[in-house]
Amino acid sequence: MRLRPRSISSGMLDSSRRATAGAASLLADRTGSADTSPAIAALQKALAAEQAAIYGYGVVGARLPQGSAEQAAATTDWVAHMRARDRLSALITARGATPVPAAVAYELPGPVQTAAAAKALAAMLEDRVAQAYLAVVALPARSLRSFGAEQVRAAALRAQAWRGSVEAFPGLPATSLSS
Amino acid sequence: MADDGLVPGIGASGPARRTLLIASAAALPVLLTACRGVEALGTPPPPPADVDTLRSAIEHEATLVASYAALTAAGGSAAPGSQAGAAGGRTAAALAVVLADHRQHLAQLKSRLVEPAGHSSAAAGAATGRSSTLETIAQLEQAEQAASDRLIAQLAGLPPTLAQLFASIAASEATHVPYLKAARRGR
Repeated sequence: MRLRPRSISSGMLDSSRRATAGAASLLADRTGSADTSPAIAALQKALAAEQAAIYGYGVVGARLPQGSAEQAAATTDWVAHMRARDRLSALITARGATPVPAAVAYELPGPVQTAAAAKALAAMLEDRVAQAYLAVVALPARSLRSFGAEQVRAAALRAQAWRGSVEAFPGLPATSLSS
Repeated sequence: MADDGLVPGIGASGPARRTLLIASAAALPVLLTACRGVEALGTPPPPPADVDTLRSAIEHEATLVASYAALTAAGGSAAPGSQAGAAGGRTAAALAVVLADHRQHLAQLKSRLVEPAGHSSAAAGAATGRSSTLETIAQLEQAEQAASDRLIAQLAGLPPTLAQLFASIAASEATHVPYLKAARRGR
């Protein structure tokens, strides 16, 4: 389950279809060829995950009860992702690369019609963000590794708040664990 | 979840990692012996820093497992200081969930280390004292946060896949804090 840039055939937002498709294509090109160093690649993927989360939290907030504590929490998390996006953009720019642009729209993993579905989407977004930051943790630079780990932890805490449960290995695919 | 390789370096790399640890911890004395003769056998070199870090993480994790196991075995929600009824049941259930997480953490950490023959880790003792269940849980919340911080502080110099495991476990242990707090407060 993932939130991805909306494809040209997806049929939503007709007036922006051309721009949406262009942004999605640009995203793929930038992550693949602008700078292929491991650090830039990992930071760009984390940035793409943050951008998807920012878009997704807009959907989450719209489906939670107006004025509720949950909606306020969604706003807080949305701001946290925007700050992380800005931090990642600065890190990428400082390394001489161009941050990947956000897509105009993203394809949701499924319909989000209820508050429960909105909370499940928020938790899923955080899972994706945590996974993306684990690639930053794999980098050798001490400062990037620490930054990535702090972001994995922050995403896991937000996911726990939305889900109400805990996980043994946030962000790690089950296939990476010893059986 | 693992659909696009967002976590490079993680995969079926367990045996390779184990080999590396065995090589770094055990092969060096053999090389020294070959170069310097029999007297070198008496002074084995210290293990690499990442092996020490991993051993330390295993010991701390084992202590957490022992602490939660002792608390659960002692009756958890039925002990003095716990809340009665449904709230106590929630606390006991939360303790069981967190204990299961720590057992998984310990197993994964141990799988990354192959000890030389004859070496055995010291048995971990529970960190609990004579305080009430709720006080003990509050102390464990602090221990969880400290464990999370310690793991993140130890990332420098670790092999990438081990650093990712440490970071993931650090994140999990941080989430135990609000999870236990909510259970302790009956929410």
